[in-house]
Amino acid sequence: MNSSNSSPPDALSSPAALPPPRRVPRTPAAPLEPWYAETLVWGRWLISQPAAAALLLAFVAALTVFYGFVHPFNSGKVSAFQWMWSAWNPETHYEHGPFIPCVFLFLVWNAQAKLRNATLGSSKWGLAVLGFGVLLYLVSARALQPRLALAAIPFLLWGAVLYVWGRQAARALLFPCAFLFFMIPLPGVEQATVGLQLLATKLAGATCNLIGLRMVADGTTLRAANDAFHFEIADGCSGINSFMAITMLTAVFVHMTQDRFWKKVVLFAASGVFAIVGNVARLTSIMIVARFFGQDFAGKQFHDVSAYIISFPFAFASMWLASKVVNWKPTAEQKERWTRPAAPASSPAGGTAAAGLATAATPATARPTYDY
Amino acid sequence: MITKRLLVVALFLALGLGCVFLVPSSARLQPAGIVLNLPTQVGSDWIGQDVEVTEKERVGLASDTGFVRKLYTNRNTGDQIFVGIVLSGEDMANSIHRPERCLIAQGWAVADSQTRLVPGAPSAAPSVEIKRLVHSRPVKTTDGKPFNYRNVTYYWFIGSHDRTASHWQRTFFDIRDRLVYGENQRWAYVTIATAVTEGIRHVVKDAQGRQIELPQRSEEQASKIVEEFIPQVLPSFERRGAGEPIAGL
Repeated sequence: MNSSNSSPPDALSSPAALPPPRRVPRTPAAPLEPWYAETLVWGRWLISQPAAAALLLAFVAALTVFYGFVHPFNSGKVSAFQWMWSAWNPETHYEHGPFIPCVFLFLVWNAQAKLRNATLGSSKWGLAVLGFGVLLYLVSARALQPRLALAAIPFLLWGAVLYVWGRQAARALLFPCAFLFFMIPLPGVEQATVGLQLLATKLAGATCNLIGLRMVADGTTLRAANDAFHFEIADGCSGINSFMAITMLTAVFVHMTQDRFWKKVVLFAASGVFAIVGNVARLTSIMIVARFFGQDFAGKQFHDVSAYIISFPFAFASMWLASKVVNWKPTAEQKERWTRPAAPASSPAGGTAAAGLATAATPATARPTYDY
Repeated sequence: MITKRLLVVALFLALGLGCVFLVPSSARLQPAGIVLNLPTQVGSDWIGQDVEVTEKERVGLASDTGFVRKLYTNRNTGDQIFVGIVLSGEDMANSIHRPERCLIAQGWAVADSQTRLVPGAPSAAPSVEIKRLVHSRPVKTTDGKPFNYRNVTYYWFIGSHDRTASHWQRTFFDIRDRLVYGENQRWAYVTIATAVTEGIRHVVKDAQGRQIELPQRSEEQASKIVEEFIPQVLPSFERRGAGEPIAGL
């Protein structure tokens, strides 16, 4: 109903005049690709190529038989995989060994996109690399050195990829295959713990003293200056376990995050530093906890979890920080500030302004002006 | 094309790795480079008494591993030096290993490791390359105070025709001998050790059961005593094949 004070009706205000709402056809949203989509592509390829799938299986079976069921070592009693499994133990500081094949499979899965986009080809060098791997295996059987047999595995796998699928595919799988070298337990690791024990003890002692907790480092023993508590930094506490694990994790980290080869090399070379930082932080935290909560609690309950709540976070933090440093690039503003020419000197007394510049005779302490 | 290449690779791998059945599994065992025996007396001052090998050690190593051990006491100064020899059997993988492994397993911490040249026996080589370890473990004195007890250990490996203080070099010799000559050297692991008694009263029992106090010796003094002892004891067990010097000297 119209009011005498209301504005005259117009086409827009009258409900009857409003155009009917237009139905906008909805375009169906693109379905999200599941994380296993790439793997399905490979699965479909294998199903469509049964002969190739059978031969791939034969390749894997041959490796499994010769590494798992042929016993050339320990007077004919032990296969390469059996030796490897027994060598992955706390005494050799290789408890992390079983994770290595899992990480390898993850790295291969992660490289699927690159593999799918790789140009197919073949290189006869692949057969040469494969032949080198076979030779290493035979030498290991004759020389009774199972480590050589394990060292042959990356060559066997990568050589096969290079020959069958070509250079681009081999390049995508170079790091995953090289990662398998971490499987090989190194014999001198026990001796390395000595140096690490001494270094970790000294650095932890210095850090404690720096924060006001007076400690005395004597060989591999850390004791409070007032003899309230003391700890023997055993080889298990030297950090060798975390050293191996952090070196491996650094390798994966640089592979997945760094774009240039020199950055990967620099960060990987610094993995020992990250491990030491993590271990020193852990030892220092144990001393702090011992100071406030007693040696028993620090040496048992806290010690058991300290690797996870202190050591690894500190190591990863230092890794991340180092990554930020190697990837630091100046912003455009910083570049411009650094490359800007020096401000002109103050003009002589009574001098005239240069054309286009509004300058003044400024004393030495005044801020220079710039041409905007 | 991929199927054909996969076929080539699978055949290459199967035939190549299959050659392992053609590789000889055994090798000729060379005679030992030592005589598994230690004298009762070394020089004019050192008198030795046998030290028993524990059952745990015998069971832990291969059954044909040979052992001989003696604890030598200087009748003038009272110093004591332990000498032990382990001779590997046919099963090289389970006979001898680096002392760094067993020391750590026994609770020792190796604080220093270096290679030294020590004088050899006058009738043999002028010098012998030996690995010297300083290792320690925390102990409690009789009045309950903690103390870092240290030992100095010298060790090296003697084969049929090689001698080395390096585990890596011994491994290389083994690989070379098996690949090139088709033979194994029978390695002997010799260890000579003494305690660093500086800062502590170290009381031991002699062969007659009497308690004797060892003289105070610093690390350097203990090392000097061992290095003077080595050329005296070496000729008693190191074999010289047909008058030829051992390779590497």
